[in-house]
This record gives sequence, C-alpha cells and structure tokens, in this order.
Amino acid sequence: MFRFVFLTLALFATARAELTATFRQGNESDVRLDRMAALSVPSGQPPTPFLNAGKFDAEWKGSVELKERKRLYFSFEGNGKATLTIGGEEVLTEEGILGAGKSKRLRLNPGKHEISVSYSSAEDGSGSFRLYWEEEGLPRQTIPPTAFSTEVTDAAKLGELKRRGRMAFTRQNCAKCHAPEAGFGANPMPETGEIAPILAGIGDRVAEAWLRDWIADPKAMKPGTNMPNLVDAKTPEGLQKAADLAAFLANSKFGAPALPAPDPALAKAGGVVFHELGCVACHDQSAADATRVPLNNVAAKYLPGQLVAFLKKPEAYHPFTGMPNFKLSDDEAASLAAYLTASSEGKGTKLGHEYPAGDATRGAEIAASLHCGTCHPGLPGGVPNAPALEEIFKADWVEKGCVSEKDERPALPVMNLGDGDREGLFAFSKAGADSLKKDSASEFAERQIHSKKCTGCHSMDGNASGLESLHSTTAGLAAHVKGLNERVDQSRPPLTFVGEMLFSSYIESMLAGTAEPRPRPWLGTRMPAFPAYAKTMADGLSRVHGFEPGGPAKVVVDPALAEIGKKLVSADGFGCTTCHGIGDQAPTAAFEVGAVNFALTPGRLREDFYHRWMDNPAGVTPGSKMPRYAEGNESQRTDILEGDARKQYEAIWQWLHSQQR
Amino acid sequence: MKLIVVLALLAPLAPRAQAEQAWYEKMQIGPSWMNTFGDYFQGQKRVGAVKGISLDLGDNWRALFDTETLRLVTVYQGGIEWGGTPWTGQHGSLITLGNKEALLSTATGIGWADAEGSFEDKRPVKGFGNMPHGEFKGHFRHGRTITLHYEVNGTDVLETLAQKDGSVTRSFRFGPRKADLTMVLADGDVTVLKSVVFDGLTIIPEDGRLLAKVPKGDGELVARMAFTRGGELVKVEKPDFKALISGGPGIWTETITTAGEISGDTEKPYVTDSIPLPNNNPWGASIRFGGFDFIDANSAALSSWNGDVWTVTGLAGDWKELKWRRIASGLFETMGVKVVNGIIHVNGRDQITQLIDLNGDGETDHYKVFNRDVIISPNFHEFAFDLQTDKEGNFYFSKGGPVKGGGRGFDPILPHHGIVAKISPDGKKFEVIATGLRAPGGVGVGPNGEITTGENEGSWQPCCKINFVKAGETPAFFGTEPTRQSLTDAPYTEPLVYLPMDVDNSGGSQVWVPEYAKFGLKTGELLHLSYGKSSIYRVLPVAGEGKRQAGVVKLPVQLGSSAMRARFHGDGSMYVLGFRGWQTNAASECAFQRVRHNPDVAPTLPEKLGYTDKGVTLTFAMKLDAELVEDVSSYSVQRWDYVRGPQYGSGEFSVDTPDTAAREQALAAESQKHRMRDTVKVESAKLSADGKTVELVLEGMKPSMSLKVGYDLEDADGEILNGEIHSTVYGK
Repeated sequence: MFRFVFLTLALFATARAELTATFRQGNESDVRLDRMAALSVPSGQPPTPFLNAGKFDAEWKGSVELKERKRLYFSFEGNGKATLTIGGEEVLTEEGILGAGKSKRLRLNPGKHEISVSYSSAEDGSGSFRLYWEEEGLPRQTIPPTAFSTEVTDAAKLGELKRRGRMAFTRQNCAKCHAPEAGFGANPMPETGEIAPILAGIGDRVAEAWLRDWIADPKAMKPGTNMPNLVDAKTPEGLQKAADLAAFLANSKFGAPALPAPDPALAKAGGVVFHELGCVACHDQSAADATRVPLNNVAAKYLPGQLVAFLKKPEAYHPFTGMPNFKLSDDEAASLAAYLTASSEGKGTKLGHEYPAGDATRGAEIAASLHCGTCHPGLPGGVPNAPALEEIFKADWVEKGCVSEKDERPALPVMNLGDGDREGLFAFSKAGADSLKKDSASEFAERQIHSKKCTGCHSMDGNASGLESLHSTTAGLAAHVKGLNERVDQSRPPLTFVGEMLFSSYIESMLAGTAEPRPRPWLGTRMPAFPAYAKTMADGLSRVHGFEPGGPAKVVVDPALAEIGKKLVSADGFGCTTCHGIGDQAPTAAFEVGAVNFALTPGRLREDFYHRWMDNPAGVTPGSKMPRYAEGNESQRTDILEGDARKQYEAIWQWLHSQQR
Repeated sequence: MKLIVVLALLAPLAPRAQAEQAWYEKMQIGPSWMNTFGDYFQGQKRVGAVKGISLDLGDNWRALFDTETLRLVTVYQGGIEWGGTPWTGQHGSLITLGNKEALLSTATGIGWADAEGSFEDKRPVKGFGNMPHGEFKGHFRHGRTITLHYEVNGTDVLETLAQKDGSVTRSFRFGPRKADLTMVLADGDVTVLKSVVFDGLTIIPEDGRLLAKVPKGDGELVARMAFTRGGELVKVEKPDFKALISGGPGIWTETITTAGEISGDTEKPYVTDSIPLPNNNPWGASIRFGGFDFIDANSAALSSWNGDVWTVTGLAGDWKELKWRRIASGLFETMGVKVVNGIIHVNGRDQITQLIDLNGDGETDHYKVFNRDVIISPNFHEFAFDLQTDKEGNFYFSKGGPVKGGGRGFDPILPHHGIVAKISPDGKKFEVIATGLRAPGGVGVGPNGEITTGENEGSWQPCCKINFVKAGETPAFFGTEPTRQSLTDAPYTEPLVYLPMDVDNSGGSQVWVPEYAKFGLKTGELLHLSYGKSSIYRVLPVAGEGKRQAGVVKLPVQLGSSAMRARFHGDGSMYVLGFRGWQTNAASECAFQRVRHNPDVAPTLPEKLGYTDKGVTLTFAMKLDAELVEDVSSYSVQRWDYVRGPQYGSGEFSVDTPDTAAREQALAAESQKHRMRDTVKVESAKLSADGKTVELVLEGMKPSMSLKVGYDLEDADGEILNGEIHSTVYGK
C-alpha cells in the first residue's frame, strides 16, 4: 500500500512488490496498491478515505512468486466472507469467523502464480482479514510482501495518484486558505490539523539575515520545503518585502536571555554524535541531495545557543515537524550544535541578494496582507478571502488555481511542489474534497512511513534502509573513536512485519519516546520520538497487518509448563540467556550481536509473531543471528515435551509471562 | 573437617554478596589450574601470566607461576575475581587473582637470569612466548601436591610450594649447574617480607627487589626458601622429590556411571544414540567437552572447555553401564584430544600435554609438555581448536585470531594468531602451515595429508567456508589480512566452498570417511561439521582442472548439541561431540553421541556434483522419476558473490548484473543487508541413461562464490527427494 507510483521521492525504495486492491461499495470503487492482503477496519470507519463507512467488498489481485516448488496450504484469519483463488482455481472460501479451515495442499512450481482474494466485510462495515500460508516444515505465517507483485492497472495508477495529491494537499496546507464550509468533521484526515511552525518569539531564535533569505527563496534554501514563495525576490519590491517581514519577525521576542553558544571545541565530539545517530539518513550537509534536508544554513540560521534548545526539543515550536526528538543529553545537544555550527560556517546558500533595510511595522502589515497567520499560528492575517474547500473542487485545477501552471494571477502563492505532486493534485481534484473529512488508519500509517522517512533508518520489504549506503559517508567523523567499529552488530530492526510483531501499545510508546528501557541499547543509532501521531500511527501500523490495535492480553500461565519454559531458556535448555538478558540479569556471553531483554517481551510481542520468529528467525529477518532450534516442528531438543517445538516455544512463552520470571 | 577445608580451598570466593554461587565458583578445579591470569601488582591490575599455572596451597592460599618466564608471579591468601569466557561467558575480562595484599609478588619480566646474568626479555616477541634460556616441561601431581618441572640455563629444576600458617616455602631440586643461577624472588615493597633461605642459597637484595642465587655444582641440590609477612617462618622438611614425581594418591577417585540411550528408530537412514554425560559429579565440574579420541574400541578420552579430561569406558558393549572417570583437571581451555600409542595428548591454549598415569590408578600424575611453542596473548577469542594427526604422525591444530569483544576487528596480532600449526611427531618442531584465519573451529587431516579448516563470518571473512590445501601446498594464506603473518606475498587461497549463513554460521572440524566406516558414504569422502547449525554436511568435490571446488549437502542427522568434533569408531559408526560456548543453535550445553547408518534405508542425497560448460550435473544413488526430473520447475537455482574486505561479513552480490558501486561500498561499511541473489533460469533438465544423473542446463554457467541448487524430485518408487546443494564455482 505504498502508494506513489511515480514517486521519485521514495528515496530508498526500489521496485516494490504489491497487490492491486479494489474496494467496492455500491457503485463506488477505489483502487490502491497494498503490500499484503490484509485489512482491519472498525465499524463506522471507511475502508479507504475515498469510500464511506459501511459494508464493503475488497479484492486483492496479483501474483505470488515462488523461488522454488512449494507444497502449500493457504488459510485466513478475521471475519466476513473471503474467497481465495490461485491460478484461476478457487481453493478456499470461508464466511463468518475466518480461520477454521485451510485449502487443500497445492503443489506450486517456481515462478509466478496468479492470486486473487475476494473479501466482504460484515454488514456493519467492520472488516478484518489476514492471509496465511504454511508448508510441511513451515508453520502457518503471513505471506511476506516480497512474494507479491502486480501489473499496475490504470485504475491503480489513478488511485495512487489521487492519494499522492491528497497528501500533497495537506502538506501544502491548502485547506488553511481553502477552509471547508463546515469544518472537517469529527474524524478527518489527521494531517488537515497540521500547522506550520509557530513563529512567536522567532526573533529570540533565528537571525534576521537568515529570515530575509528564507522568505526571499525558501526552495533555494531547502529544496523539499512546503513553504511557498510569497515574495518575488527578482524585484526590488520583493526584496523590500522580504526585508520588512524579516524585521517584523526578528522583533518577535519573548525577551528570553540569550543563551551562550556551545563551545566550538565540542565540535569534534558533536561530529561523533552526528555520525552515531545516523543524521545523514535525513540530512545532507552539502545540500547536494535535494531529497534530504540540507544543513549548510544552520550556522547562519540559529542565534547563539538556540540550536541546542531546538535539538533538545524540535517539536517545541513545530509539533508536526519531521525532525524527531532524540532525547539528547545536554552534552550531546551542546556538542551536536557545536558541530553543526562549525561544519556549516560560511557554507550558507548564497542567494546574492542585497536587501534594503527592513521595517518591522511595514513587515507586520505585509504579514497580514499575505495571511501568514493562516498557516503560522500567531502571525497576523486571518483566513484570506479564498474560495472555500468545496468550491475549489468544482474547478479544473489544470486550468485554474494555485496548482495550475497556466493561472498567472499574482495573488496566488507560488507553491513548492515535489516531483509528481502536481499530477497527483490534478487527480485528487477529481476525487472531491470528501476524503479530507475521513481517513483510513492503515493508509495514515503508510503515509507516515513516507513522510517521517522511516525507511531512512529501517529496511522494509527486503529493501535496505537509506542509512545502509549513507552512513559510511560520515564514518570519518567518528574514526578517532576507539572501538566504535568493534561493537556488536549495529543493524536496526526491519519494518516489514512491525505491525504484526509488536502490540500497538508498544509501538505507540516507542513513537512517543516513553518506552523505557530501550529495547536495543547496544545500537549507536537510537529510535527517536515522533510524538505528534504516536497513537494514530501505532494503531494504523497494526491495521495495515490486519490486526486490531491493542496491548498485551493476559496470558494464563500453567506453572508446570512455565517451569519447563524456564529450563528451556536457561543453559540447561536452548541457552537463550547467553545472548538475552532477563531484567537485571545480564546476558552471559553476548557476542557479535545484541538481543532484546526478555523482561520486555510480554509488553512487546504478539504471540503469533513470537511463534513465527521462534520457528525461523532468519525467515523473518534475513541474516538474523538468532539460531533456529527446530526444522519442521522437530526440535533439536528431543527430551522435552516430546521434542515438539511448538509446545516448547509455548512453554517459553508461558515462562516469559509468569510471575516467577 | 578436612573435607570442609578442601572445599573452601577449591572454590575461591569472589568478592560479591549473592548467597548463591555461580557454577564456576563451586567447581572444584583441582590443585593446579593453567590459564591466563590477571592479578594486581603495586595497586595496578595487570596480566599476571599469559601462560600461568595457579597452585592451590591450602587455607585459601594460592600461588601463580608464569610458565613462560619461569617466574613465581605472586603468592597470596584470598579469592578470585571471576572472568574468562569459558567461566563467566564474558568476552575480554580475565580471571584475576585477588592478590591486592600479596605475600610476595614479582614484576612482569623474566624469572631467571640468563648465562650472561641478564634478566632482559630477549624473546623474539617481547613479553610473549618461551624464553631462550629456559623452558617449562610440565608438572607432576602427587595427591594434592604439585611439582613444577622446568629447565634453566641447561639445569633441570623441580619446584614445589607449601604453605603453613602463612609461611610459604619454595623447595627446589636442582640438577647439575655449570654456573650460578639467579632468580627473582620478590619485587616492590620487600622490606616487611621476612624471608630465609637454606641449603646453600643466598639472597641478594637489589633495588627494591630480592634475588636469590643458586650456587653452581656438579651434583643435585635440594634447597628451600621460606617467606612470611607478620607471622613466623615455618621451617619445612625437604620434600621427597622422587616420590613427588612418581605418582601419588588420586583425588578424583569416584566413577560415574550412566546408561546409554540407544535409538530404536528403524525408519531413518541415520539414527543417533546418546551417551549421557557425567554432569552430576561430586566436583561440580562443568562438562562441556570440545575434543575427544578413542583410546581403544571400548573407551574414549574427552577434554572439556573448562580444562578437564575425562574417560568413558563401555563403548564396545551394550551401553547399559558407561563408566566415566575424571582423569585430569586444570588444563587451559582444552578443545582437542588425540591418542597416539596409547598416550592421551590434549591440546590447550598454552600447550599440548601428554597425560601420563604413573601408578596405574587411572588419574594423571604427570602433565608432560609435548609442545608449548605456541605464542598466545590474553585475548579471549584466540581459541586453540582440535588436535589431529596425519599418517606420518605430525600433529595439527588451528588457532583463532584475537577478535575484539564485540566480534569486529582485532587486538594486536602475535605470530600464531589465526593459523594452522603443525607439530612434528616427537613434539620438537612447531611450524605454521596456514595463516589468515579468524575463527577456524576445527581442522581435518586427510588420508594423504590434506589439511582443511572451517571458518566464521567476520572481518575479512565474508561468510563461513571450508579451507582446503593438499600436502605440499603449504604454507597457505586463508584470507584474514590482519593474521596474514609472515606470508606477505602469498595469494589468498580461496576455499573449497563458501557457505552461506543459513548453511553454516560457525564451522567445526572436518572428518574423512575411512575404509572401515559403515556409514552409507564412500571411503575418502569429506564431511564438514557446522558448530553453529549443529549439522553435518557431505562435501561433494567437483572434478576438473583449475581451482578446487565443491558443494555441500546436509546429512539427515539430528544432534543433541553442536557439531564440533567427529571421529569414526572401529565399528563403522561415527561419534560426534559438541558443546555450546558461543553462537549456535545447539539445544543443550554438550552432547556426545554415536551416529549409526541404517543399511536398510538409503540416504536420499546427491552423491556427486559436476560442472559442465552449460550448467551442473547431480548424481543420486538411486533411479529417479523421469517425469519430475526432466521438469525444469523441479529445480531452483540461485547464484551470488560475496565481498571479502575489512568489514564484518558480507552482503550477497549479483553475479549476473554486477553492482560495482555496491561492492565498493561493502569495503567501506558493513553490507549484510545487501542481498541480491540472481535467480538462474533452468533451461533444461535431462536424465542420464542409467536414470541416476540429471544434467541441468542453466541460463549462463559462470563463476560464482555461491551457487545454490534446490531440487524437488522423486525416486522411481515415489519417495520424495528434496534438498539443496550449496557450492562454489571457480570454473568448469
């Protein structure tokens, strides 16, 4: 469901394996690309933003590709009605609570096999569906996204395009000027509530000279910005406006005492922090890569000491910023600021403008006339007299309006659109404004994966993370640190199965930055907080995989089984404690890789995923060093629970959830 | 009372509050303990002895003797700060003696002056290895008394230590001496040390140290010296050295009997019988055996990672009573055993030791050095693996590189890091025959002197592999640049086969199938053991010119622990041994098992692999179902390359569409996430006239470090034959 067909902005993704998903509701239909055949739609919410709440049908079509011959059974989970067709043959139909049966064994040769899943929701519009396969020696598990591929039809292209347009529409804050007549309703697309940075007190934080350049040409300063060009810097009037606005903003001060600039001597240590945190996943120091946020203007932008404050709490004045909160220590923030300042000193973007002196009073008037306050809360200028949301969707955007390349009315903002955004907006314009007043949790999560650049640090669906190739570019900053390259494996967890793996309550705490302790404390990179949408995003990730969001369920522990689990975990069993700590008990001999402390397991892992992981760790995370203790269901340990691997893993699960632990 | 004292002595208490002791605190190691020990000297922690022997002197008194510098490092009363990988599992922290308040300690350096009277460290590698003017020859056990045996400036020396009421006596028997000998007695604050020498020795105080002079003489000299701080010096009678070196009462006299578990399976081609281990022993000894050999048809000797050697007898019988004896203890991480002419040779990190039972009571009385030329450092990872012999009687073992605690990079390299060592049959000559190893978990020696080793993924090792050289092709360099040693110009000897991580993530030994094996395999076949995957692989060499190349296919054998060592028994079965000490999927701490082949069930494995201009040939032992065999969809073929470089491990790189940038990047940063295997189309599959060989024509047959051929066939009777061969292609 990663839905940007023409997405050049999908920085790190290569060709993606997907299924074409067609949703129908009466005469309406909506097509998108899904990573897997799964959904979780609560009653009262639409299956997609382009349909309404209520009963719906879904159909996934495409191919499942096998590298070698398999003898597979297929099965479902969820509720509703579902039919699976493989190679044109209907192999499984179920209705009601799904999951009672499975298909006959299908001998499938290597290569692509046509697959289609038809699904009908319950009458109340709630839907829940997951698709599994299993084989002799391969316990039942979700079919990995990498197994799917599809021919992208025109309908799917259109579906993806309009989604792209919808996303661009909110990112550009279009609805701030073109407000809906009666608001967005109770459950709108969450991004409609986003605001641009709060500029109150900006004069305490950034330099006036930088503000002038920024207002004159935001795109030149930061290619990926959503800030439109509001003055024409090619004219003396435009430069005057920029200078006046900058003077006005620079006057906005809380009167806070100036903070001392960090000691430049800390820059070397800050370089290490910059490298260790993997900042290059999202930032480019040279400003050569337009897909990453440049850092060459940092020294020119921040007043002494203010960068430290920003780094410590990036969301303070911009709740929806893409810059996450790393919970930096004071030392880390000070040294990082020193490094960023030193490394960008004298490297700021040279616009070559000579600005006249700015006038703050005039600047305030200009801010009002440009309606800056529409996007930036607290600035002057209310909602402009622009056509309402519903109105603009009646127009042909190719010909007229802010998106049109033909409409040259001077009052229109010059939008900074990314490649493909304009086509997306055109497609979206034909879908109507209704989709902004509702959303699908799973689509929200997929959008956030993109907009928060999750794949900058995490691999997903077999595609390496951006950092895989970029991280070495900053290795020199930390080359002097002894032992840095001698630590255990520094791989970050892949996101492919994240919503299936973790309880959404745990994902939420990771995103909110409240998960303590860190699950992988050995990593030099660390998961930062993205607090704005922690719960919405976590719930969405769960629904992407067809799971109802939630937290740990109480596990009824059989003490005798838990005792066996305890033995299996110990050196008398599989020796899990070699690599895994248990609460305060450190791992006995972790080497080459780190492993998550078992005390965290009950709060993190879903049971199904746990079994899948235990059965074949490398099948879930390629290259994982977690050993595989059974093939088929035959445990290496034949003397416990009849050598039944599933039962042994269940015993471990019980022990992990027992009070004794 | 005596028992309580003994227990207290043998289980030194670590300075910690927990009521429950760890297993290693409870294990009775014995009166001598060879290891690398840290200690304290003048308030600073240091490496006390790289090759040390710690002696239990009773009443929680302990002495440490450095067997390289022949120096008494320290004598103290107190405990131990635990460390050491086989003990606490920690990587990098040494077992450290709690000798902050020592009776006496000596500064790091040489223990005896050379013929010129110099204490200068003249060893080729300063600080490490044997010194030119003296050598350690072993030690004797008589009851709980240990007598050290060494030679200085040509003089034979026996030394034993005794402690009574805080007074410690060193007693010596010197052989003939052409000149005076001078030894270091103590360094540092020697003013409060009360000392006395007898029997013609003299003490020479010198710049904050005490030396002792042994007068020259043609005859034997038995001499003593005693030390105390605060208490009274106790004069000890001269020991009866002749008795001390002639064997004495045993200390591990109990026999532990276990009943073998014989599989009743008649369906599988290979079945596994288990020999229960003496885990319940009165001494709390950790049973993680890492080396074994048969003494005769009925018994075997096994060495443990924690330095024990045990024997088990009853193998030739019905296994109802298998009798275990602890015959030696306190050796240094012993992971290899070879019995030659009835003498048990055991390989530790510090030396190969012959275990000699002088009085026939079953326990070792003489720990005789066979060879200790190996130069070691305190690094935790430079394990000494295995012990094998060739038909001329030369011994072989492999040694790891000094990998750092996190698994990446290396500590400073010494000359024997990452090598295969060859020792002459008389133990006198030590030779490096291969370098460039990182973690070679075992070795194999072929019927014609072929040498093989396993290897692990790591720095300069893209993945596991099987190294292979024929006799006469040594010395060879196996790829880890930091452990290249003196082979500065040697080319990289590529392996017989590269093994992906899901096939092997940590190699063990290799074993060759002997003529007398009854194992369903042919004489002269090579088997590879995977420690990490607890699996045994049949190695299928590919005939042809050019570089040696092979494939592997897994034997359907299930093991109770890892697969580290294997040897064929005279009855034709194969015994397999493995423990769990680092990453492995082994399901228990240790297992010693017999794998039998059921002659009524043929293993459904390929027995031959060949390369043609256009693809590969697979030959099975049985006739194949023609319809499935000629259906190209019965096969799945992939190929890929690795990048060998300084980074840990390697990703998988396309052969068909080489990504030069990605390969270069793999040299700069770890690349395991790069997984670009090529799917290779099978264009045709043709069955041979005899119905046993299939020839696959592939879309392009080209060199690749890994070629994986999956097959899913049936034999003529409808039995499913599916599996996969992993091979390396250098050329046709």
